[in-house]
Amino acid sequence: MFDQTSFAIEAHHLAKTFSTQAGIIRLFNDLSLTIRQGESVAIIGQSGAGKSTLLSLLAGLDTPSSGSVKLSGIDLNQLNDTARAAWRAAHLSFIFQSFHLLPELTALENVRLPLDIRGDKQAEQLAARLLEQVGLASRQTHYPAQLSGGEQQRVAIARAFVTQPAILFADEPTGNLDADTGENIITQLFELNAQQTTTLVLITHDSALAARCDRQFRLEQGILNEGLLS
Amino acid sequence: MMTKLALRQLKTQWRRPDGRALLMSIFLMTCLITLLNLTGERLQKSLVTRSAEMMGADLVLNSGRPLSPEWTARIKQSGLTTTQVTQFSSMVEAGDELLLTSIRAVDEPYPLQGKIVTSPAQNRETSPSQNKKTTEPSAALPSAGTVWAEATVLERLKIKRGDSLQIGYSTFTIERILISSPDRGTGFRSFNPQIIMRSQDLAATRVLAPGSRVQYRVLFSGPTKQVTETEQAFRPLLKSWQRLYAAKSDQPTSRNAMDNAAQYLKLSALFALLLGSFSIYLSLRRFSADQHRRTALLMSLGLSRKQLFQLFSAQLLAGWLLAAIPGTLLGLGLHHVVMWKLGTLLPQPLPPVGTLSLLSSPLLAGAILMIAGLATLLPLGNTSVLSLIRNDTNQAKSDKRLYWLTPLLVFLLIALFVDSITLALLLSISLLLCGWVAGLCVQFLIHTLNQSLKTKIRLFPLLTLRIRQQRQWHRLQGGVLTLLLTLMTVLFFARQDMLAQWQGQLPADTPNQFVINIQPWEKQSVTQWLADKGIPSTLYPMIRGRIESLNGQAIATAFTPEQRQHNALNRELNLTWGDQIPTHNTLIEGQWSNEDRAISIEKSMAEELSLTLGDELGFRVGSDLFSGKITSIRGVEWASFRPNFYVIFSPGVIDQLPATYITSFKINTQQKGASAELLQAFPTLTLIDIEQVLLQAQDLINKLSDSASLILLLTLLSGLVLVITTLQQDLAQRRFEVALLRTLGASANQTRSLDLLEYLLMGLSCGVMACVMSESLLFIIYKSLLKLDPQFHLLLWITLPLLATLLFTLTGLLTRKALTLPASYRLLKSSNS
Ligand SMILES: Nc1ncnc2c1ncn2[C@@H]1O[C@H](COP(=O)(O)OP(=O)(O)O)[C@@H](O)[C@H]1O
Ligand SMILES: [Mg+2]
Repeated sequence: MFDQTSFAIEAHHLAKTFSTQAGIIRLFNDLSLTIRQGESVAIIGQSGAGKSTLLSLLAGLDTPSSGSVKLSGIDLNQLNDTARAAWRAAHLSFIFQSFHLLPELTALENVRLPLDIRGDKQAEQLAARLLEQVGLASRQTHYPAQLSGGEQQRVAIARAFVTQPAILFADEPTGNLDADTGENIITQLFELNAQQTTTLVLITHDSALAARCDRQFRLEQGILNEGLLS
Repeated sequence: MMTKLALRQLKTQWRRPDGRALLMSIFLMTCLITLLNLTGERLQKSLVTRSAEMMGADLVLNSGRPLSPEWTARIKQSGLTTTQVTQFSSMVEAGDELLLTSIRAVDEPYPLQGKIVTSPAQNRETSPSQNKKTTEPSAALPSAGTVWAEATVLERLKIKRGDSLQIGYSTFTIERILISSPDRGTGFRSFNPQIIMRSQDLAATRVLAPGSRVQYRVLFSGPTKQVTETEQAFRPLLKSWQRLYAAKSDQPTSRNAMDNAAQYLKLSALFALLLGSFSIYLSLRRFSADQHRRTALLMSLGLSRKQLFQLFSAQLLAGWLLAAIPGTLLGLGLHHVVMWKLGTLLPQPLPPVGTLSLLSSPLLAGAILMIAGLATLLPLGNTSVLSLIRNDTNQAKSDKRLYWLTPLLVFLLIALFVDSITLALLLSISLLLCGWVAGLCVQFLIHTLNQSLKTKIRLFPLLTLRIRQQRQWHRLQGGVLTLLLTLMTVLFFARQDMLAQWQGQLPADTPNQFVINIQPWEKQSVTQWLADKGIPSTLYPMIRGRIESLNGQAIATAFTPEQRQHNALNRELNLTWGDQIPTHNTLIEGQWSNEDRAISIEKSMAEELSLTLGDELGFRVGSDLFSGKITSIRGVEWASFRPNFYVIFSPGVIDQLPATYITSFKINTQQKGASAELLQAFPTLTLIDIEQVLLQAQDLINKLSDSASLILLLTLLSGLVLVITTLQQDLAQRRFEVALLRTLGASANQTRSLDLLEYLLMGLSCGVMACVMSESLLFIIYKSLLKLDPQFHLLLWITLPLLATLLFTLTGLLTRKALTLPASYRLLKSSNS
């Protein structure tokens, strides 16, 4: 599909600064990272280290102060607003710390929503299959309020995979869950990831979870170090 | 499925309080505007702009005097179809019952446009050849010796169709009941119960005599071009007692009561529109703040901006349909109720409801909704998925230009609707200004009240915090609520006091019967008749004349343009003569003089026309010219129900001119039949029962103010919706604060007391402020408009603060939701509400 490059993400010399009333916050100065297609990568770091900011740069949601990001060989910052949004919609998915399901839709409807937005005819079957894969086949018609936190996040995972994205960004997907549930969720995440050979960027502060990824990076004082231990 | 999402989203969102407030404001707005718009338009159409169907002709010549031979010739030359109508007020009588009616004596063909509807219907439609055979003339007009009368006439005289009634010296049978007819005449003539008779029967009644108030009309009809030519030819020839009205083209030359009513409706419409737009804007703002996260999510799932636009438009459209259609229908229903209430006051038939004006209010509401809606919702398209990652609640960056454009566009729409930019601007600014001042005062009152609680309640520090936090909303809520309460109060008390003082002011010996049209040859016998009955009265001669000059100068040069607008210079005055000032007048300046050519004039006329003692006024009565020198100025109690005159001559100047006599007297309940007897003895007198007139006026005031109250009540409701909307604006923040207090140890009771205290202070302050504003407004209105003695309304000061407090507390408590302790923790933990 993207034969120009085997890299899903190429980030070169990224810098990000925020100017606030208190002065200029320099999160990182010169940060480079390449991720191959199908690879799973974990980024760990303390709260406030800049993980989420990095993720938003990698996903093209935010523009770096300097440096460049290419996704599947395409520099999103060179595209106009509409084209960028369209590309993102076609190739990226997100999983958030708070699950962000629509309360008025059932589990199944939540999962099929991205397909419906695209006008996919097979939305129903695809969504049902994914819901089955995350173990919620019997909860199709339940509303988010009737599901536990873990179940809600599983619905969100199914929703993220249903569009068969090239790259999946997950920002602390277990942050709002207890350890056991989180463990479960991650297992399902990796299963689906292996099946679909999705490129996965997982942000977490839990090194046990990070260990299950192909590669791990630590973000400390604006520097990205590979490996789990410092 | 996208439509399903849209529908689901709609369902949940319209269940939210801000969704409901939005629906409610659209509903109330369309309802009110429909009511006001339709009512205003039909009032205007039926009373101000004349259509050929209502005038009964394409062109009407109105004359206060019989036509001169020249005019008769001119009318003949015009080549148009013409007919003549004589209209006059007269007493009619049946048994012991008397009624003042407006009688039209007409000739065939009549009317020239539109048609008379009677019960049973006339058989004009059946072929005329049939009618020719019968001795009866065509049934298009009453047969000789019969009249057609409106149902009110029959009701008031307690008779049925086929019975007879007495007009002057003649007796007529009521042939048909008049349901509606064009050509009712102008002014108060058109309000009196109507009777139509044949002009050939008029002379025998002998009700018309020199000095009677009669309107002679000529109706014209024909091809448009010819009508226009005739109109242009006639206009320059008109005498001061003549008026020419052309169908449709005629705009009112002076503002009358109904025009004021239309103005009042416009003002109400403007107020309702401002309130409605404001609530719509605020509830949409609150709504869009909550849509932030949802939009970001949908866009992260691949929703394009175009789809987002469609989604929002569909939602707004659905909301509009849901609220505007019932609103319009209810408005239409209320309009019919109002028209039905005003029914007898308006000339029938009423013009039909215009489809365009029926559609205009829902369209207007739709346009305001779309402008405000897209302006607040579209910036949501700028939200980024980032906000979901950061979990922040930052508002989408809204375009500053949109922020200013929205009110501007809404204002332009409103101006377009009210049909005047200046009026819209003036009213908007004054309303906003009054509201702003009221809001500031309310905020200050809340602050002071709170300070007075300092040592008395434990919640004081929290309450102070709350009041500081909410001060901008308090200002807004206070301004709106105070204005609305003030308007309602003013309307209520103005009506109450007007009616009460009217009746209360009259001394016990105030006359309750007024008699006009007493002919000179009847003077002696009428005086004698009254004396025999033991009824005290004085007969005054009355001569109709115009002021022509001041100190030898013509009116055009002697008076300023404003003064020339004065009634006394624009119509025939009632002049009288005597050898002293009437006892019910008071001498203010100078001395009554019996010298030749001395006159006494009324005070307000003297002031407004800057007349002083020694000035010489020139008069014309018919072709006679004469003058009088002002030797005294009198104060006149116009509402005393006694014959009153602007000008009284000393004896010897106008004694010889043709006069009729006029008098008023009081008959008490035992003498009830006396007025009927008087009319039997002198059938051509016109007798006016003042109590009946007063009752009619009271009826008029009641009906008008009932309709006004209905409109104000609906406006108050829109105001309450606005207050609810503002209460919801910071609901999230309020809930957060309550949650925090709860987890910090405050009991559910305490947080509730805090809210309650806030609402109490707010309601009380609004109530007090509304009292102050109403009393000042009432004072001004009484002093300058109604000329009543201003009074202090104790009732107002008790009820209004109570009512406002109740209203606000109830509204506040209804929108408030209690938070349990676990819910508080959850709210704080997720921190993303
Ligand atoms: N838009 C912004 N403006 C100013 N400071 C920001 C902005 N976004 C993030 N930051 C700051 O950057 C730092 C890193 O934030 P973030 O990337 O969310 O960290 P993490 O996800 O590792 O906890 C924080 O100190 C945060 O305050
Ligand atoms: Mg983070």
